[in-house]
Amino acid sequence: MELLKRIEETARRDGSRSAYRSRDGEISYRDLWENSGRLAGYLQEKLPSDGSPLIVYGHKSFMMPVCFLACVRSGHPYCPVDTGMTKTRIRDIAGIVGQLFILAPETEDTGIFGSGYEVLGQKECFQAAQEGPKILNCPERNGEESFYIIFTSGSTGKPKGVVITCDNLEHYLQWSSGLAGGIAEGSVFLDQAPFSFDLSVMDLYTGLYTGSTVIAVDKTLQQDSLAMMAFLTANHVEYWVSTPSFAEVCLAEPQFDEIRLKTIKAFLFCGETLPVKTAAMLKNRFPAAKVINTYGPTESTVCVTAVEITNEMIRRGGALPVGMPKPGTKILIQPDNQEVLILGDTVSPGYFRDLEKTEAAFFTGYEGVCGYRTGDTGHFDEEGLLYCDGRLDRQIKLHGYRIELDDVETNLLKIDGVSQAAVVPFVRKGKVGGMNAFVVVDQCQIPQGFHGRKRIREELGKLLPSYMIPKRVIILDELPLTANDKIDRKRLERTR
Amino acid sequence: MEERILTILEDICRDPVVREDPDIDLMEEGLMDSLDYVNFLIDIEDEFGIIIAPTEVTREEVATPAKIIQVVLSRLDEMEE
Repeated sequence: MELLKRIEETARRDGSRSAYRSRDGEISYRDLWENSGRLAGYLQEKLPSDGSPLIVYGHKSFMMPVCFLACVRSGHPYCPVDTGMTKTRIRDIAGIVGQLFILAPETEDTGIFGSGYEVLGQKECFQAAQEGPKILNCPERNGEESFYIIFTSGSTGKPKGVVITCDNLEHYLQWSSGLAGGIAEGSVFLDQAPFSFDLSVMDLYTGLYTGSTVIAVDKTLQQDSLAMMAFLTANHVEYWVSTPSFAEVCLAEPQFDEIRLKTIKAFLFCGETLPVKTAAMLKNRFPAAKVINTYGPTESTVCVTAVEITNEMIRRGGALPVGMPKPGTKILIQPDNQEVLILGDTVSPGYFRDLEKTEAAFFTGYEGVCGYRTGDTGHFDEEGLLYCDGRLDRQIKLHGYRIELDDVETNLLKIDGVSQAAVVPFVRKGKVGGMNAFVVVDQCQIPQGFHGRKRIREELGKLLPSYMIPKRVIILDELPLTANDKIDRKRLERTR
Repeated sequence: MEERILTILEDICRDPVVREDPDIDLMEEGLMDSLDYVNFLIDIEDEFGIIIAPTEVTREEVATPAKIIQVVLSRLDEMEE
């Protein structure tokens, strides 16, 4: 596998180069290769070579990438589970994975999975990575074998494990390493998303693929934006990878600019819609940095389209494009409902042990190419740039009108003084009775109380027909975020 | 009684201002359109068992939360007599 070859080569050529660093320590390429090899040897002795997946439970320790590579090098795909997940979800995932042996390199609290599991805690993981059998008959990975399994929340609440093969990841990295004009060898990446969120694949593996250093910020550090910025500055971060919501939290801090973060070359966004206001503020604070918008579902290995956001796109206003498909990927728009279909070499073979959901979402296209129905709606402009319009499950029918909730959000953000917006349906007497709009405002521009709410509704009325105006506007200090730093719309739906 | 009417009104208008400002003009401020008004009357019927036809009262008579409460209360009184 090219990724593993490259890591080994960097370890041999420039072994002391830092591969990954977080607040609790760092690991060089030499140690990453050596320790993951020893841990892989330990796993080979410990487990049957049946290709079964292994849970790696932890957060941002330098032992996480060691464990990931150890799993892969011993012939097992890994399944990252973040310590920030709820116990119910953790146990649901462990139940589906069905492997009783678990790697937990960041904790001695090995009881979270319940009884019946053998959990290798922090000390034992570390020991196995130091003292495991050196000899390792590292199998050449077949491209169709699984590399990782990342669970996404199913709409029914039962998590779905997206299987990503070695080939999927390899095809993705061939493209992602060329983003932002090409990632130079020895660059520095920000790693912010939990490993259980596949956005982290963008920085971790694009980083390791290009011999770069990955700088991880843990959840606690993320709560303190000034301390986090000092950490990023000290580590000369060049490529920023996050959700737009996470960047918006940082933008609330006036010191978040190129004077403090001199080395930033590009912002790479994925995971949710990039609002034009956020892009404009970033361009303003970091005039020399590129802002790159990307799009793609976990089911097609992080993302499959990308575009650099230009000042011209920002001036035009409205929704930003998500870009052109990468080589090896074809995107089709289903004519009847505008659903985005992805076909190509990064599409997952399906959900782990869930044939029913796999058959519902995946299909085989021409010449056996794997395809995935995203559930997103979109369109192409005349230049061939894709735009995401919304989600099929974010369309509501109200008094006979079909409304895209994302469309209402985009228009709310056009109003001066509205900095963030989320629109959710509210249910009255068992059916959708209207929309609630949650907004964050600049208090200098939008008055408090009823007059502020009325102003927003009136301004929106200049942009949209009256049936698209949310009945209720709720002004919040900040929008709630999920563990993956996306706007938590489910929670807003429960807010009355 | 007033509280129950206000709860229904807030549920229909979807804005807490109906409690804060009893004299706010609901139609003029965009808090209640004609469809909302009909839904409000249905909810009042469900809650109190009094039937008010939309045409029975003029818009002016139910322009504000205070006026609406007056109309509903007087209907309730009539019913008891």
